[in-house]
This record gives sequence, C-alpha cells and structure tokens, in this order.
Amino acid sequence: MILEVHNLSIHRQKSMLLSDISFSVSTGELVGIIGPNGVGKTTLMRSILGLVEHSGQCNISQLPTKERAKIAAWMPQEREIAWPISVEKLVALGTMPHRQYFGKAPHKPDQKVTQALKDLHLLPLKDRPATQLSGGEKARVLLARALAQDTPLLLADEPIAGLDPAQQISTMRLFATLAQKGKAIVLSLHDLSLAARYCTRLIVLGEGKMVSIGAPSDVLTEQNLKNVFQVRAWQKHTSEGHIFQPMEVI
Amino acid sequence: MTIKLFLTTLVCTLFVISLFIGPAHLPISDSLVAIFSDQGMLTLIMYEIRLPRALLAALIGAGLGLSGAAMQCYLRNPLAEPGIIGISSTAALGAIIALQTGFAASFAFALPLSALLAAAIGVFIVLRLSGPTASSLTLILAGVAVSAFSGALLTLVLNLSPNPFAVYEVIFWMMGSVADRSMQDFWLILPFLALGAFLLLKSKNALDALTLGEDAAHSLGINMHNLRLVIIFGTACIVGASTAIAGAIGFVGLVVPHILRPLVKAQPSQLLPISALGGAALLLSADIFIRVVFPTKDLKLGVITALLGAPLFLHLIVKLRKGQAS
Repeated sequence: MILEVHNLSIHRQKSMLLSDISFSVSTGELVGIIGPNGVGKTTLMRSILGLVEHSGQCNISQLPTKERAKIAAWMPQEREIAWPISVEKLVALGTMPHRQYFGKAPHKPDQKVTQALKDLHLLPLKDRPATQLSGGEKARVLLARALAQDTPLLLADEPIAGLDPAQQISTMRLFATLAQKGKAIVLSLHDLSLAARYCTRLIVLGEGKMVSIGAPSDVLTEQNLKNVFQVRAWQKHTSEGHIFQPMEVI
Repeated sequence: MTIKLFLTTLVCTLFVISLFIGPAHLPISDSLVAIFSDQGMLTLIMYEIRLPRALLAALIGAGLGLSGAAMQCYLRNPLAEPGIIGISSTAALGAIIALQTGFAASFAFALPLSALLAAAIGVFIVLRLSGPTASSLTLILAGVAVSAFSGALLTLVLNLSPNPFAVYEVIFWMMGSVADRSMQDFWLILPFLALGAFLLLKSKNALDALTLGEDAAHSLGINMHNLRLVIIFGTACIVGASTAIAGAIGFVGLVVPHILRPLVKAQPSQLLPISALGGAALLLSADIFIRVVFPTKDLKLGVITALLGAPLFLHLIVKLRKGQAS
C-alpha cells in the first residue's frame, strides 16, 4: 500500500472537523474523495501531506519533508503563481525533490518535464509567462508540475475545476491512464458524474466522518446521495462506464 | 550568464572609478602607484579613505540588493524590501540611543555594535511576535509593528534630546553614508554580510519553489519553518550590519530586484545573485555621483537612493493603470 490512513482525526480549535478516517490506497488506483462543500476534503488531503496536524496514523504525513516529496506530489486547489516565470521553468520545479542539495536547475529540460508538458498539451505554451495564462491553462500547468515530480502517489485538490468539458474529460482520462501505469492517485472532486466514470474507488465524506468507501456503483447509492448531498440522481451502467447524473435537490 | 557578466564588469569598473575620485584630486597614475607601493600620504588616502568607502558601498549595496530580492521572493510581493521585517528600524534605534547617550564615543566600535545588538533584539521580537508557524502576512505585520514602535522610540529619543547638535548628528547619520568609514568598519561587518549572503543564496532554490505558494513548496520538500528562519536571519545579518555602519539607506533593496526581475524572466534563483551585483552597482554609482556632482555639499547616500526610488512608484502606478485600461 502506498498510502495508509488509520483512525485519522482532525481538530479545528475546539471542534472535531474529521474523525476516525481509515482507508488505504495501493498503486494503480484512482481514488476520488467526494462530499459537500466544507466537509473537509482539502483538509484531509493536506493532513495526509503533513500540512495539517492530526491524530491517528498516516504513513505519508509521518515522513520527513524531503522524503515525502519523493513519494507524494500535491496539486493544491489555489492556483498561485507568484512570478511570471515561463511555463517550462514552472513545470521543471517538479524535479526539485530529485536534485542534489545545492543542485541547479538543469539547463536542458528533464525528460519528465517534456513528457508532462506533452501529456497536458502544453508544449505550444512552454515559453509563455505562467501568470499570463487563463485559469484553465494554469490548472493544466500546475498539474504538469505535479506530474513532473514523478512520485508514485499524486494528490490533487479539485484538479478539473475551471476546465472546459473537453479538458475535464482528457484530464480524467490522463489520471486513469497514469493509474493504469502504476501510479496511485487521490483526487477531491465535485463532479460526481466524472468521479463515477473514471475513479476506481470513491471515498464519501459527510458530517465529519467517512460515510462510505468502495467502487462508485457501491458508494453512489440513493441513500448516500440523499444523506450526504441531498440530491436524487439518474444512473446507469453502460459499456462507457458508470453514467451518473444528479437530477434534483431533495 | 550575459547579465551576470555585464553586471560583474560594471561593478568592477565602478569600484575602480570610485577609488580614483575624491577631494584630494589625485592623478590616476599616482593613485595606482599608491595602491601598490608605499607613497606616504597618498597610500594613506587610498587605504584609509577611498578603499573602505568603495568596499563598503559595493558590499552594502550588494547586501541590500540581495536581501531585497530574497524578501520579495519570500513574501511573493514586489513591493517588499529588507526593512519590512523591522530590522533596519531597530538597528537605527540602537545606533541613535548610542549617539544620544554618548556611548558611541566611548570606544571605536560602540556605534555599530549598539546597532547590531538592537538589530538582534529586533529579530528576536519579530520571531516571537510572528510565532513558530507564521504566514507571510503575520511576518509583515510583526515587522510593521516592530518598525512602528522603533520609529516611535526614535522620535521620543530625539524629542527628549537636550542638545540640538546631537539631533543634527542623528539626522545626518540616518540619511545614510559610507563616507569617512575605515577598514575596521569593513572588517567588522564583513562576517555578518558574508553569513547573510550565504544563508540567502543557499535558499534560492527554495524561493523558486515558493513561487507556487507555501503548500506546493512544502510538497516539493521545502521545510517552510526552516526557510522562514533562514530568510529572516540572513536578512537581519545584512540589514543590521549595513545600518550599523552606513545608517539607513533605503530603496536599494526595493528598486534593484524590481528593475532586474524581467531580465531573468522573474526566476527567483537567478534574481538573487544579479540583485546583489545590481545593488553594488547602484550604491557605487550613487556614491560616485555624490562626489562628482556635489563635491563640497556632503550629500548623503540615502538621499540619492530615495530620489531614485520614488520614481519607481510612479512607474508602478503608470504600469498598473495601463494594465487596468487594457
């Protein structure tokens, strides 16, 4: 197992934000974390990365920062790019954990950087200042940076938010392909239909705890949808996968 | 590499020019001979007046340029400058208390040592105020608080001063200058500046990662707690030591990285070394300008850098308005 979380709880001030979360993720899995706004999806991922204090055990958060960077890459929801550095240089930052202590950025782009640029269709933009890109382009650049980190585990917070439908589908397909090639990927998602279609497993968070975990068809039950999301949905198993469409608010 | 080479050549040229300018009006050939052989008074002028002046201008300029770039990259704010964490204010307060109490006259290094001690106290207070896991905003607020309090105490000291001549002395000191400094002053601040430069340059890759924000930098293996301490301590060493010897020289740390940033496509790891070279070039130029244009006026270095810095804000406003219009 590349990621193991056991009885993880997070307190914020005096209240409990998440309690007793336990799950594990192995290589080759694409796991989606779903739940309503403010339930703690981002906080759970940040705690896995050692960015939020928690009780319980997590094999990734307990690693030293430098070691963790070689195992888990992180794409935060905030698309912060402070300086107008080129797209290629920004993506190349992903290779930093693998450089020597005083290592300089290589003059020639790393093969992983080129591959990440290619995978996210960013080669035509590689010389553009990253701050001048649209929101969707920035999301792709930041994802390419996380891919260039070349870690066995990738955590991404809302990676398809703000992308157009074509980019959303191609990004989810890319995640699925990467998972098939052996990477473990954990995403937080709001789009239940894409989560149902591409994720191998889903973790449903609701009211501070893990409500359910399993294959999309097992997790996206009428009862869970009603209790957690307060929606009714239409769903069907097809040759294209599990098709899911939220229909109305209950 | 071309920019680095150009700036290195420029700094070397300005340094040599700085050695050959002064009220003694020595011919260049005589000045050259006086550097390499004992020519009595001429050698004394070169080694005791001009060399420390040129060395301090280059060193302090480099330090301020470097720490300004580091502070801007750390806070991800192009308007940040080394004084933002309050160290220059506390160092100035320490120096002024030494001047006002007469302690500055008690032994040779009393003034700079008082300033350095005050700077160290300033670092301690800023770190205590901002807490162990401070965000950039908390750090800025702690710096502003310390700066404001030091400024208030400084005016109080001036206000209560019984001697108007002492007030004049303080005001002139605060304008910043590298004139009439000795080689001892240079040797006193060299270790602080070297340590500060080492710490800041060591952090340049981490500052690259910080372009993506603190969470992303952490996920790239950067220990944010250590980085914060290294940046604050490195900046404090440079700013505290510079203020201790040369007084408050503003705007170098703000202007230099700002001008040079587009030349390195904004990459922090490249901006840091060239900002050091740019800072040295700027302070050497300003010091040469003072001696050539106003040889009899004793114009202070901080006045010239402030005159250069103010138009930068006008440029920023124009740029911002153009951006908003388009």
